[in-house]
Amino acid sequence: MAAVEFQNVGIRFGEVPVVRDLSLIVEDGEFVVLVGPSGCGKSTILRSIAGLAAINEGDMRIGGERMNDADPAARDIAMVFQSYALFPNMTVAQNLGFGLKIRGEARAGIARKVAEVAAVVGLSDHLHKRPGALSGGQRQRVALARAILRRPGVFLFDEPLSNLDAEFRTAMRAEIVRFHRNQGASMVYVTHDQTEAMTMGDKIAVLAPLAAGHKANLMQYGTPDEVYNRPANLFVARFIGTPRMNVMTLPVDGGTVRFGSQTLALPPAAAHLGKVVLGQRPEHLRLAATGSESGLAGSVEHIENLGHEMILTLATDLGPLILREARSAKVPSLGQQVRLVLDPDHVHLFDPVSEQRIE
Amino acid sequence: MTRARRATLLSYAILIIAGFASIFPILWIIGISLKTQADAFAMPPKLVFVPIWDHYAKVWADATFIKGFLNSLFAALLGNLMAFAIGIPAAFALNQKRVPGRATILAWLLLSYMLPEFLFVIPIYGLFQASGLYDTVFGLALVYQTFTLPFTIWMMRAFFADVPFALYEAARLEGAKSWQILLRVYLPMAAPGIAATAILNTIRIWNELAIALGLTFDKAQTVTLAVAAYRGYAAIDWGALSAAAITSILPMLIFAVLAQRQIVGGLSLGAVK
Ligand SMILES: Nc1ncnc2c1ncn2[C@@H]1O[C@H](COP(=O)(O)OP(=O)(O)OP(=O)(O)O)[C@@H](O)[C@H]1O
Ligand SMILES: [Mg+2]
Repeated sequence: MAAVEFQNVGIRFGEVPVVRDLSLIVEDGEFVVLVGPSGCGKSTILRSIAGLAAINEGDMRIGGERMNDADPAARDIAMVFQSYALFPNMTVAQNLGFGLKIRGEARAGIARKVAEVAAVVGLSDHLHKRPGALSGGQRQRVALARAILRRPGVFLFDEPLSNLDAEFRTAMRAEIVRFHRNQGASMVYVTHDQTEAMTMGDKIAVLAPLAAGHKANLMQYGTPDEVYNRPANLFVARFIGTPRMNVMTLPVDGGTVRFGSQTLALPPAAAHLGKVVLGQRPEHLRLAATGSESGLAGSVEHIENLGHEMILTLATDLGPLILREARSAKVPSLGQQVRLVLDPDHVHLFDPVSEQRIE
Repeated sequence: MTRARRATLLSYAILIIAGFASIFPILWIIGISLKTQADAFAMPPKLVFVPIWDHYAKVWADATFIKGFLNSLFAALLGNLMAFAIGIPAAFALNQKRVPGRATILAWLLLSYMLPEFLFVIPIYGLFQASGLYDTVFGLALVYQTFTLPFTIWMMRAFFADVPFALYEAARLEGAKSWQILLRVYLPMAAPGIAATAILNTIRIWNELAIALGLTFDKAQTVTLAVAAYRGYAAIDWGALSAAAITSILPMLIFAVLAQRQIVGGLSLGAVK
């Protein structure tokens, strides 16, 4: 049974549509990441699962049951807010026990459950403190513990790591993934950070804002590998991966395109087009051997040396291209003339009008 | 002397002058309240004199004054109770996002707060006469709602607006009803704001004269009227008048000193920032 299921869901704020025709299934126990640029509706979709944003069209089911209009407290979900939303006037213990108290549990039962969950997330020594006296990471754990206490079928996270510094973020990332494995519950996780999406999710839903003219939000839904290796359209190709995929529009001539002196044969689906959009990730673009005349001429405009690898920005007739290479190779100097070669096995083709992938 | 230093000195000079200007009348009245009639009107003014406590003794033994003092105390208490009983739920509701015409309502509240009190006296006079509310402390506290209630709603709305909405949502997800969220989350967080609002309400009620003059006669006379009463038909009892005036500002003064931190904290918290 699916944990969460969207079927042709639409959400409007007043007259402004924010989510349109969203169909997506989060399987039981799955970790799904909603990723996309700011304003694409990630939070709105997450909040519609929680009952904090109203659904105008379609159906949303949790555990097979239609929940469009159910009370938030009756949805078998728990949410971790970006701001953590801890009650500043209560101690950690009171924060954790708040829901139990509201639901009328006996005091002894509350204390036992709070102590248990505090031990799980390593907060036992901080139960008497107020959130204001905790570090960002500890607050994050309190928010997580509050969610765990509810024993929900679905955990919802809205950018829970965005308030932490980079180093701690990486640690918490691993902790949440481990937590998912232990809990076995379904999770829907919102982020605009595509690294977070790639490293954490069983599946990634890439979303685009309707305001940018897209007909629907969902651009692609698949595993991180699928999304990275076979982006369904230009939007996903550009959004997933750092540095970004190189994208160039090339004229088609007799079923082939030319990349400098390099000729590439197109598959039948692209051969009849007048132009085609060709994409290649920076790690697949290569420097030709010195003295070689193959490929496209370019000059080194910028070098980012990361120690284990380097990232080159090259000025070419087709615009700036990014190339990523392991540091085993010799580092070219700034302004040096080089030649670039495409890896024909890792070329992505897109229709210039529909922007959809061509196989 | 550096420029910054000069600026600091100048601002201190202005503060000292302003402080003196506001405290001088009070010092002067304290002086009169401790002087004999002859000393009080001596020319040039006597800066050194033998203080006498006769005026205070007279005022503190005056049943009319004591009654006025207590009436004001009750009016302030009752006025605040009514204002918060209605104002807190009203402010909480107004703070919700989906209130149609919220901006208009808030503007009207502020406007009605600023209307001159005397506007209400004439129409309400007849009503109170007919309903038996005339010359009662309860009636006074009720009329005081014309300014206390909008002010309380306005202030509390501003303090509630400072509570992050995510807290409301988090509590909703935990199954809390609106009134539970108000009671357990909003009120504790807005506590300094409640204190500040209550203090400002009390000051306004305590100092109110026009409505009390129009709607009370004897039983429910307030402290401001009791002070004014020393201004007789034929002569003004300056000593007693001053002693009564000083006595009437004492509660507010003590209160302000004790609650200074809350007032400043509450005011700088949001509403009047
Ligand atoms: N309560 C609301 N009323 C009106 N418009 C809203 C409301 N909440 C969100 N929106 C609009 O809906 C769109 C999507 O918002 P949403 O918060 O879901 O984006 P997001 O993908 O989470 O972005 P971010 O990464 O910035 O958090 C935005 O254009 C936003 O302005
Ligand atoms: Mg968001």
